[in-house]
Amino acid sequence: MSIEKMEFVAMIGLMKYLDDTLQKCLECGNFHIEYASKVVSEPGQHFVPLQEENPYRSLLKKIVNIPIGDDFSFYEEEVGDVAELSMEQITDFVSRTSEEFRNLSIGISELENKITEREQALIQLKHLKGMDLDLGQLFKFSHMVVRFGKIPVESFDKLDYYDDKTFIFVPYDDDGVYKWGLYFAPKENVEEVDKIMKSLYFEKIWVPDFVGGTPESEADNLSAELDGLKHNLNELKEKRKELIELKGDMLNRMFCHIRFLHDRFSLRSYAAVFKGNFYLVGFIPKKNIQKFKESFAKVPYVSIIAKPAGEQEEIETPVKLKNNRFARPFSMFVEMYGLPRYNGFNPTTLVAITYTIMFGIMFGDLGQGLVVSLLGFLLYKKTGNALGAIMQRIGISSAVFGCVFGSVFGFEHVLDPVYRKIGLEHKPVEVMDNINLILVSAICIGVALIVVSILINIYVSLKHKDFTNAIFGNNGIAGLITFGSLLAGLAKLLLDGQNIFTAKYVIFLIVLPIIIMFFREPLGAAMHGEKYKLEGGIGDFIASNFFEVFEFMLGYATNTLSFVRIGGFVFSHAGMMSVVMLLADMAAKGASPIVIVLGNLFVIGMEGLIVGIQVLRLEFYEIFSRFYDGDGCAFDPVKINYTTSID
Amino acid sequence: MINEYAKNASVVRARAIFGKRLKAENYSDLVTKKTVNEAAEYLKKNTHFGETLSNVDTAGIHRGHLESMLRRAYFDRYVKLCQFENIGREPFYNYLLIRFEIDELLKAILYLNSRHDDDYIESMDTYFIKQARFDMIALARSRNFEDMLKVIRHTPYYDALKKVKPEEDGTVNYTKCEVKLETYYTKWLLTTVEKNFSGRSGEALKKLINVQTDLTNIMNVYRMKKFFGADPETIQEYILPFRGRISKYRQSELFEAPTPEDFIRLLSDTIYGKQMGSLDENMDSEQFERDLIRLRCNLAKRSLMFSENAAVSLYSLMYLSEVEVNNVIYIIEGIRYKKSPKYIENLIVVH
Repeated sequence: MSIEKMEFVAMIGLMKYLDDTLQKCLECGNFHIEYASKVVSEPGQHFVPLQEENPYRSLLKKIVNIPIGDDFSFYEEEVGDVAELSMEQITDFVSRTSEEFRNLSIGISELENKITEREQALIQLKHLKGMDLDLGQLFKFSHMVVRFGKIPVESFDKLDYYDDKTFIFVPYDDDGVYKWGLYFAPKENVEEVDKIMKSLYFEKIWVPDFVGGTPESEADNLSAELDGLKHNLNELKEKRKELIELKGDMLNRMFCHIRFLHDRFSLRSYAAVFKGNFYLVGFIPKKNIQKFKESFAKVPYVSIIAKPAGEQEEIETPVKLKNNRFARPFSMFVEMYGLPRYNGFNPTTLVAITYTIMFGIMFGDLGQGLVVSLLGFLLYKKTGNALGAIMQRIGISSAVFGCVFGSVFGFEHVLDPVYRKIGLEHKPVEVMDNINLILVSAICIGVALIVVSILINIYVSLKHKDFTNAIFGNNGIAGLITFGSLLAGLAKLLLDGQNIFTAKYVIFLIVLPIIIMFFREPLGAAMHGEKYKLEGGIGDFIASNFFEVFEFMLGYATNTLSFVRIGGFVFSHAGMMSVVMLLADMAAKGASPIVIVLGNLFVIGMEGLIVGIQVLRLEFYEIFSRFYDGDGCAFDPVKINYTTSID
Repeated sequence: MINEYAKNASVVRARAIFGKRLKAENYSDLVTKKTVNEAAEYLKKNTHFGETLSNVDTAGIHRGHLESMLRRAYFDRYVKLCQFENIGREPFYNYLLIRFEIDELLKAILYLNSRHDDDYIESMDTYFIKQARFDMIALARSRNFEDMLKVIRHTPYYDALKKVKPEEDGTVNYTKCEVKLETYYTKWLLTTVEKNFSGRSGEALKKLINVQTDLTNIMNVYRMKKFFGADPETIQEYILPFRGRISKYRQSELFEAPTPEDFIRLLSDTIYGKQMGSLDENMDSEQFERDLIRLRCNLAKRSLMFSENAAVSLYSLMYLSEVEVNNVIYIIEGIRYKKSPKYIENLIVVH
């Protein structure tokens, strides 16, 4: 609903208790740290940023670089008695274990290379099968050297350059990227030719120097050898698995311990120091401050000063959104756009309500809505993805509006008996018979949302004493009067045929607010008691404000009409489902249910996605743009990063 | 009418191709790779370069070969776009081929001057050898500037370079050759646009070319000031004789700036400086050049997003693709020479 209230916390203590202090900050799980130098950089303040080499870095690097293989990855767990071990003991264990893994890894890597080499040779032999030559003879040359391999096609074109050199390349296959072939060079020039071919990215491929063998028979021999090598490789991999079982747990606990010490030490760089004292600053949610202070009871010589956040100018207060259970998953959309400022407005609840309602209207179908909701439930349960939780909510909304439109998986009259039972003659809204009603309703929803957005903007701007925006802007009081008066006048004219656009009405409710919007900046400056500085001359002022006000007026019209899409999608959904039903009717009797199931799945997938995106577009463009900047910074509490990446 | 629709399809296609560009997260992943082979494997499996690298054995690929494949991917993209609905039949679409030819000529001159003319063949890009208007193998065999001129005798480059006289030691003034070839290229672009495009398309293309010329000049003047302390006369001699959106007065002011810092200060008041935003008199030259590239990328991106003309879209897309290929090549070189991810990240321009 709102933004979590924060406390700005400053801690001063003796250097020897800095690690204990950081430990408490980590344990609390709710401490957002900031560089203390940001607040003590004033002249005369002698605190300087703490710069040290992290002593745990090399050991951590050593641990994460152990070639354990893909069968194992580090994870967070309790370190247990590892915390009692000395650094020497840990280093010793890591070195020994690393050596063991390295030896296995070298063996594995050598075997893998041999296998790759032989597999390449097999490929080469496969290419050679297309060549009618006695390979045995090739290796019997006494004055000539033969090399097999492949050369990139680009390099092949360069071979003409070497016309004067004594070698010849014979291609016998082409896969589009490489020319496969062999080159012949006299023994006395082979070094020079090898150098040339290397410069052209010729990749030599090992071919067994069989005597008299045919490519086919040699391919069989190689396949047999490959089997043996693969067997050896599997044996080594098994040994590595056994080693992981034996030492993996201890290694992982050591990793967690050193990772913790490393990351905690890294946090020291946030501190500023002066004469054996440290200074740390950060933010903590107000509700946690008491517990946080109490946790320091056993850490001597550390003073904690807490004051409400927002008063300090040097550091921007981080933002943690506080939302109810229904709205919480929708914070994903808000964060996607950008967080509000600390003293700004949290729009999550508004998004949650409007998104759910608009999606429900645009995708109204009882059956499909329940399917979306069920899919969302499964997605959320399996992955914890917020999108799953959103799907649960909007699916139910779809189902509710499906009852209004009387649609269940595209069957438009299944619910008729239910309606009759509750005293209705037919479904509440027959989509295709109420085109005007639906379109006008869509516009009314748009108008309501725009007015709400403007009201929020007025409230937020007044809170920040931004009078230009709150009173004189297009999303302020002046804008609201213009927009409201225009709409009221038009509505009266269209619905009652009564023209209320009298001269007074037009002058005071439309023209005057437009003039106020035109002069919004000078008027805003006057409200603050400041003198407005005209930049670029009077002509520039008139031109730019004329176009801006013109754009505001155009914006009112286009933004309102933009909501017509809500109605458009109601028809689109009904239209698509009627096509599915038509196809089902045309299909053979047995195939009809299949067509209905596939059609429904298609509509849920495609239209569901499109409607989801369109509603998000309405939220971002037509609603957020009126009151929301999204330039706040996120509350990011300090924690240990149990991954193998090291900064 | 059909042709117009075909061009619209090309516009959409160009935008779709741009959508497949490498994103910031791809670059972040790439810079952390430990070897060139790992980087090649990543490119093959996770990016649009996968198509070009599909038959390549990344486990043993050489850095030079990989870079050449990436440049080939860039060229292939251009060829495919030109073949799409036959838009390549229009003369303007030859512009990239001319660009490639000029780049090869300049590379050959550089090797000639360095006395490593035998090495040129190794770095020569041969993927357009069949389309090139001169014999590229003969160019590689040239052992002096006269030989080179003979090879290009029947091309427009001959006229551009014929007046350049080699020095006594056989070398030629590279910068002069560059200015002459670039001048020919820019003139060709402007004339071709003038002849073949009218209205908004013509204006949009001219604007892109003008921005390109202005930014090239800005970069060259800055380098001349920063590294050679060049005076206004020398600068005048070595810049492209075109002006885009900078007035003559502002241009002379920039040339006459006594120091690179003054140059940046004056530049910050120009239309480009204002768009660069982050200009700082004390910024390092690499940062400055990156900011210029970023600015051109932003302008190209805008043209690609909003233009309805195939030529404008293709021209913008190919520039953005060029920057992308250069980024990947910087990363590969950084990995090869064991540079830190942070160092490499500072070399690239993500768009």
